[in-house]
Amino acid sequence: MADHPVLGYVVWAVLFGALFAWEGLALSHLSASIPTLSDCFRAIMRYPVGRWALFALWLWFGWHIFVRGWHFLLRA
Amino acid sequence: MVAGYVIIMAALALGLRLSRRGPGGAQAVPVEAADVGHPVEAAEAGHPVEAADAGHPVEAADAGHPVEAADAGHPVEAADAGQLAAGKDAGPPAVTMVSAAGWWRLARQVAGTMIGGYLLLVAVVILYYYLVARVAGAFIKSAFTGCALLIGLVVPVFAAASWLAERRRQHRAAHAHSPRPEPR
Repeated sequence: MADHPVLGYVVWAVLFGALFAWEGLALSHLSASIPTLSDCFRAIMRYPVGRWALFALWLWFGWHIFVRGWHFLLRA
Repeated sequence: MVAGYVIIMAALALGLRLSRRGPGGAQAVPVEAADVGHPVEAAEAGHPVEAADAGHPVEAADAGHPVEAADAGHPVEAADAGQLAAGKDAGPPAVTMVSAAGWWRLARQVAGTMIGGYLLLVAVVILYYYLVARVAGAFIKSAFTGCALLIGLVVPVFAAASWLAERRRQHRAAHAHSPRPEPR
């Protein structure tokens, strides 16, 4: 851990934490002006290019998890 | 790492379940129907937004043009469009079957999305490799073959799941509309 850029990890953690917090806020329906991730995806998927981009993102994720680094999920 | 993955997936599943519940706690049942292109049930149940999952029937239906919704690449039979045009007071919806043409349109849309997404990702990977970083380990070859492998694995599963969901929807609709015995 000593050689690892801790600050970089913290930034990622904060970013993901903010993402989930924002989604939780949207799902709680406290404010109608906050769209959920599903709303965003729905808006993107109205257009073919948006569907391509989302599918490419999904492929990219699956490629990294299951093909390039298939041991990722097994590394405890 | 596995535990983290399970926690994230469980949180997402919980969020999805909460978001699919209605205001009164009732489950938004017609989601599966809407997913395969049946905006009628979704709209009647007061969840017009979910109908958008299949594409864009909502805009057309909202604008009073249900026929366009049926023609816009959604596996809905013409009867659905007629029911939409008739409005909500036209009685209980008939059990609609997805026609062969509807399945064909769905397959065409899915194939277009998969090919477009695959080509887009490959293009990005190639640009990244030559313009940003020369990643070691047969990077480009892995992108071609790995993504094709994923698509090859996913297509039959997706087709089977779609078919099962549609079958379940028809089964449920048939049970919901079958006449109940008179109380004695």
